[in-house]
Amino acid sequence: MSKSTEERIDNALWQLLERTVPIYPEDDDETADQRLDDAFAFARNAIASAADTAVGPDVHHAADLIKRRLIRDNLSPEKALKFSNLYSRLLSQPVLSQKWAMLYFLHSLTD
Amino acid sequence: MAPSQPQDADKRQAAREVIDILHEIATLLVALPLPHNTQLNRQQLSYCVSLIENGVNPEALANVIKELRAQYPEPDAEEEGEEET
Repeated sequence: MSKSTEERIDNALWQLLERTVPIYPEDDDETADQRLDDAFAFARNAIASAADTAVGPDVHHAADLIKRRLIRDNLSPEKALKFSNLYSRLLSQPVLSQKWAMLYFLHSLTD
Repeated sequence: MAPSQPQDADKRQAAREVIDILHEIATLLVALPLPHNTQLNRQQLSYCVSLIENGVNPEALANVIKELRAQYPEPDAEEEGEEET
């Protein structure tokens, strides 16, 4: 992994954690900063040591996982139909290259 | 050579559309009965896109966010929990 990619990852990770790790009313600055530093160290280590995803880069497989869940967990097929529409719009988007990984991320985050 | 503004603007517009689509998909998924406030906002989502587009493992990133949420619940979620007991 190139240095600049590593720097981009570190920067995006720090920005994400600043917007994810809460600050509590009773915190002083030092406590809040320490919590963020600890969270960054944990996240960086977890990301670095992550093995290759067990699921191969197959965008259709990731989409199937989501569709099946939406059908299973909802009485009406409305959400699954809405997802199919969003999915075809996503496929036509040129700027996102890791489409399968983003779908798999959303699936993993909410499963 | 002046930067090609129209092309940059198109790219930014396309990036915004991707985030909108992903945010709608996340909203569909989070509507399921899940713990408080697991919905990523657009800003958080755009940083996740950046991380994954740069090769970060999607499952590892999801697990990091879930772990941090479990370890550091949102302040209002924490208070709700206390009121119920």
